[in-house]
Amino acid sequence: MQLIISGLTVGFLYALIGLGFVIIYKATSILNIAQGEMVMLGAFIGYTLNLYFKLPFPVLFLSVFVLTALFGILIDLIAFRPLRHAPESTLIMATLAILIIIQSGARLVWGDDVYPFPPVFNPMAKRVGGIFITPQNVWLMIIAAGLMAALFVFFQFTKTGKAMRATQQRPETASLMGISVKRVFSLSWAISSALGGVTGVLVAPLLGVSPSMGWIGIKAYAAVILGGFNSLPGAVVGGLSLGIIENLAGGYLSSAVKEITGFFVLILVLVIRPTGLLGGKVVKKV
Amino acid sequence: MKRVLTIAFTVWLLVLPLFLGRYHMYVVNLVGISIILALGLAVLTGFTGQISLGHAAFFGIGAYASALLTSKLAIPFWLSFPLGGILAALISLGIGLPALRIRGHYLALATLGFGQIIQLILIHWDSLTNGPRGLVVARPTLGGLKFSSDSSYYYIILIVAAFLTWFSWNLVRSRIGRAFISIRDSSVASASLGINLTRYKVVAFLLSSFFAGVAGGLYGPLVKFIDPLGFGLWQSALYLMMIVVGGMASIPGALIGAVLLTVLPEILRGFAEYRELIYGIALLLCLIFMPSGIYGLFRDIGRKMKPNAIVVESPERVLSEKEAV
Repeated sequence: MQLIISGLTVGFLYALIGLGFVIIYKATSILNIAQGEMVMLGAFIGYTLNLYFKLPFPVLFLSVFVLTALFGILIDLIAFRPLRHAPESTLIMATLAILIIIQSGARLVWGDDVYPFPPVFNPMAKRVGGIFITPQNVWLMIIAAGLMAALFVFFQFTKTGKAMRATQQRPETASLMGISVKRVFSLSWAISSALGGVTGVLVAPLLGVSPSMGWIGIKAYAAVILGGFNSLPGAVVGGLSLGIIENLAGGYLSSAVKEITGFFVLILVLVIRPTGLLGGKVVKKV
Repeated sequence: MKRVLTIAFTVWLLVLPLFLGRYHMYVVNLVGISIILALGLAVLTGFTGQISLGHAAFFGIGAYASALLTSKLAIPFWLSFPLGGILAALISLGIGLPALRIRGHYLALATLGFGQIIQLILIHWDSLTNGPRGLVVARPTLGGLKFSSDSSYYYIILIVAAFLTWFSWNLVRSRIGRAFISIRDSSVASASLGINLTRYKVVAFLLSSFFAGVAGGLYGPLVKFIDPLGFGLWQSALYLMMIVVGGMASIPGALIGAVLLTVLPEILRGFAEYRELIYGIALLLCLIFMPSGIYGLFRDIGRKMKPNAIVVESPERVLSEKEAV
């Protein structure tokens, strides 16, 4: 039970990263392997703001959200608007280029060290009915769940959200209905980067801040495949399950096994059910 | 004329060690290894349209397998480096079969994870790989001949690289090569023509992993020391950059890219700190402004110089139309 609870915390983080990944994939059909770097960037922006301005947490959280969203729009304008009609493989390599640029840029600015991030919430464990729970993890899960709920409301009920869903289904038809597909693409990058950025702020007190922390993205991709590539709820379910599975493997087997669980889950899903737990059937239209 | 040039080029390659010093020969050898890797990726990414983000892992498997087979089991070098390639190819089946069965770019994500796993295994399997401390690899001896200098080892690399270049050159013009190209350009149309998509994609992945493994087997004795850090995501990205910069869907492009990206860092040592950043930006710019690479640029210029020539659609043409999902 203890393992499940702490796995859930990590699971929420995977879910947030995975959501960003799926939002971009659904809107633009770009497989963005640089999503983990957004987490890193957000963590560093948070770290720097905290160091120089000592902002209260909600303000810090919002600033990171806005700044990484702007960065996402920048990426879309610089790289992906010119590549709008490029083949899928080119787009993947473009995200690889962005991954390298962000990571090496961060290394040049901040060096290769791991910076400790002061805990925002109380990291001391409390005993609740036989299980140890830290307020920090509880808050983390509450914030993550809040973000997910906000995302759901946005996509389901706002006009912009509906426009985005329409574009995901049929870009051509959506543009005939007067939706600016370009704007939807930029907005998708903004939302997904912002999600990555704030995840960075959430994960920073747990892992510390370093240019190589983007590796967490790779595990999140396994979670996305587990949940279903083209499904937002799938990303959440996949993230939470992977977090728990991984922690159980770490607890009962060994910590080295824990590191590679994600990969085996990924291969297993591809063998048994390639569309993932909640992924719909992908029908290819010519 | 063409024949004269070919002979002159061959002779030049054969006598190269006479004119170059030790350090330059070392760089030339590195170029040969990069060429083998880039050829394999050109077949996979350039011609078949599939992306591997973990090729450094296959390179590493080849390097470690070949080195360990020689040092622990006393298998001669001429057998151990192809065995390294075969092992890499066998392992690639384990990822390729599940990931390439389905439409979509699952291979990219699976190999991204795989690259990390192999690096972790190389670090943690201490009893076999000597962990992060790395392995010392000896230069090979073949039937009494010792290839201890960079210029004698050059001939081994030259023969293997030349053979694999010839092989890929013919492969992409064969029935199989045409199947690769048609899968890249339209998987649905290829399937309707009776091309078994999974089989051909797996073959392409298998071949490119084999190439990477062979390159790894040759790499170990060249640098004489291998450690897990040399086989990470950055290296995988570097090999992809070679084919993008050179020209993705062409054998000459792969050669150009391999030469350029291996020699350039040696010249630009002063900028070593900024290397990754520069390469990342260059990769992005190439993808946006020069999608057919340096080779494509020259080819287009060559065509414009001869306005009356009949332009034959080359098999290297990449469809710009994005496939609707």
